Amino acid sequence: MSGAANPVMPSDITINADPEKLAEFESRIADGVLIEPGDWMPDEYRAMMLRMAEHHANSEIIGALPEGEWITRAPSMLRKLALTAKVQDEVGHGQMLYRVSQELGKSRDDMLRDLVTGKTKYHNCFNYPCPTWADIAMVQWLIDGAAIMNQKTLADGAYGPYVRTMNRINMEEAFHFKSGEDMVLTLMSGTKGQKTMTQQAFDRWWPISLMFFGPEDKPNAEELPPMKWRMKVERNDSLRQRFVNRFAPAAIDLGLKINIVTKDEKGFVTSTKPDEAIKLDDSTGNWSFTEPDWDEFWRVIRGNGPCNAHRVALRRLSYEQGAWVRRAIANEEVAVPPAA
Amino acid sequence: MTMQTMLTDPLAAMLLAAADDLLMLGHVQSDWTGLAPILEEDIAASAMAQDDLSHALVIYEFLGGEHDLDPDTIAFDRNLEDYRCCDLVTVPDDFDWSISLCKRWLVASYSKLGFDRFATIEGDIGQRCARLRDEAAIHVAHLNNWIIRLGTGSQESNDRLQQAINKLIPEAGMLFEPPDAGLEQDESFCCGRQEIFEEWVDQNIATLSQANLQGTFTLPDREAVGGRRGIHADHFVEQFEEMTEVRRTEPSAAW
Amino acid sequence: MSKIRETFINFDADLPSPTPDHRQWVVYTCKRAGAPYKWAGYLEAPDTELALQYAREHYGLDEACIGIICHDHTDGTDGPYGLEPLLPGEAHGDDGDCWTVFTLVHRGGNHQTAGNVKAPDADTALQRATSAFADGKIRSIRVVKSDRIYMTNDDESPIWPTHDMTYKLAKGYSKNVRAKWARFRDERTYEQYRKEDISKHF
Repeated sequence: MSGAANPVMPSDITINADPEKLAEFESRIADGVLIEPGDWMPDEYRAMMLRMAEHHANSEIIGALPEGEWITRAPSMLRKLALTAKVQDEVGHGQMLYRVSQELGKSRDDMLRDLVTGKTKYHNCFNYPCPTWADIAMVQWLIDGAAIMNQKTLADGAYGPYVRTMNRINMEEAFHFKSGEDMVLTLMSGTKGQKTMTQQAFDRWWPISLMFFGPEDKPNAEELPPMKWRMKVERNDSLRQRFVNRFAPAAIDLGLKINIVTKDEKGFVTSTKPDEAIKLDDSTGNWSFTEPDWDEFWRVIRGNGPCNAHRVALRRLSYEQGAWVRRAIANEEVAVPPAA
Repeated sequence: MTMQTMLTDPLAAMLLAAADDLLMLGHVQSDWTGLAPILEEDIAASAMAQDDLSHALVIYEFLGGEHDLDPDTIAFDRNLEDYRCCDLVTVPDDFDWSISLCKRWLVASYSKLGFDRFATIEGDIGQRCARLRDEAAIHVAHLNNWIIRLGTGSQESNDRLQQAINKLIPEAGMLFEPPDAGLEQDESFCCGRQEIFEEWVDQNIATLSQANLQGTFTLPDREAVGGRRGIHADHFVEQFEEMTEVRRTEPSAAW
Repeated sequence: MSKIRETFINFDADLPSPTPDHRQWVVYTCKRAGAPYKWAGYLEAPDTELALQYAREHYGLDEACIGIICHDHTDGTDGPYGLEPLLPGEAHGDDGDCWTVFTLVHRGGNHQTAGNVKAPDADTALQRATSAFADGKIRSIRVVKSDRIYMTNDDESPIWPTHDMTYKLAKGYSKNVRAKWARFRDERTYEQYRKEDISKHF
């Protein structure tokens, strides 16, 4: 599963920077100039960038867990290889994003410790279960599709090290999305059982995909730090609309039904009814849709989702189980001759 | 019919033994993706698991071509007793990196020697295996490095590796079990069995001694029957059932 | 191990004691003979040997490449990142050690190898590199002492595997995806959807 930047970044902050320097910094950003590590930046910018990059890194690391559960059960050699590579990519993205965060002032070990003790967060969408193989297809198609849309905009951000990392990551996300699309197409071309399983997984993941981009921004979002400093460049609602415009017609063409669902506390669907709002408005070119359950969103983000405790616990187990390896190689030096 | 001809072909038996080892080793190791002790090593171990799976697939594709079978059918749809992997590859690691590492190290060094020999076969499969040999050598180098690193890293890590070696060594000799298909008495391929065993032991001992670790390897009798002749441990069966869980739900479906 | 993935564990003890971060390495890959080495990413490793192995198993397998180099992050010295392209200077000389020069065209872009200069120290190397390589396009320069740069495959062993790797590339799926969409959409609708894929999202 792909990570994504924090959908609910704090926007009400007090900035204590030198007004002249701040004005120059902001005018540079407004001119589209990217910020590099040696440049002056307000402390608040550094703190927010760290928080954003760390949250993104955490999301990659935790995002490896739900899909990781299905690697050993992948039903063909191609799927087995692809899913392993995909989950491996998430770990690689986490590793790169932790490096961006380190440069902003926090050690990797501290970040991992804060993650496994629940002091820091990761993307909400990883707190939901993947009970069937079709969930893996949906995650790669919908969630990675959403992540690409989001990360493409993040690559237009203003912080150089994050931007170059995002460009690198997006190259790999294209594989994740295409592999997911191929899986969904295969399942929807398959047996009755496969189609049923896919519709059920779609019912679980459609509302999570809508929530992926986060709640509606404040009316003056463009004047508040996250957007003014180009940490994010597009409103959550606008990204969500683009997502629906692309995926609603694709789902319909594949024979999937877009439903409004209710779920139990384990994340399983308890009832469905067709989303009557789904239709194309010819005048705007936009597809209308029913908003997801934002109460659920806040409940899950506060730690009460179906899998929050389980995800963190497994990552913590990994941290504890591997401690002896990290201790053994700490400070060790093995010399090899330099290249000619 | 075609499956039967493959299973009774002596060369196919040797190739399947090699490929099934890599399939199951890669299968078990791929499960660690996202959970290994260090992010960088997580990525590296996962890359090696993908290589193992890919190498198995190269062999299945070759056999599929020879015997008119789908490579996925060979990989997933045989009867349990027709898998020829050594049970060492599915020994549970219980989320213990020392078991995972030592197991991969023992199998990789064996597997590399296998590819060295397969590479001498004339024709297509020889050429395919010659290409895989170099990648197998990279695995061996990486794993040797880690055995030495952790063997000499701290008393704690040395103890853990020694315990893992002690646990795995009794199973490891069964890597040299001749698969059936008329190979039980064959001295030519599997292949100077004694000779490969000695080569493998020499390499292992060299690494172990650099790592301040001990191990005594013994070659089981030819008659000792295990995974290569289809008599599998329970842990193989569990892994196999997990591996085919989704596939078995819709046997005729494409995935 | 998968059973452990599904088991819920409760922790009450403290975390194991912290371990310090390892050395940080910067990795560059080369796609084809004669092409520059371009920035690929970072990694952490306690020493050169492991850094090279990690670089191979991660960045060497992201896309086809024929060579990988890396250096300790602290061995790199970056000049200022200019708002405008750098102006060439007048610093010249051929005394001192050999330094490898990396140039950056755009802020937020990727450094790539440009050549070498000789200099007694990093600051002089930066000045001489600016004289030699500032061509009106580059905005920043990084110098690294050449003997502090390590190469993955100086033994010429392969990096990109010989077996099929298309399972981890988007293009490995394109043909199948197109064929499968044909069951659901006409060619024109699919083509429009695919183009949007590329222009807007990928």
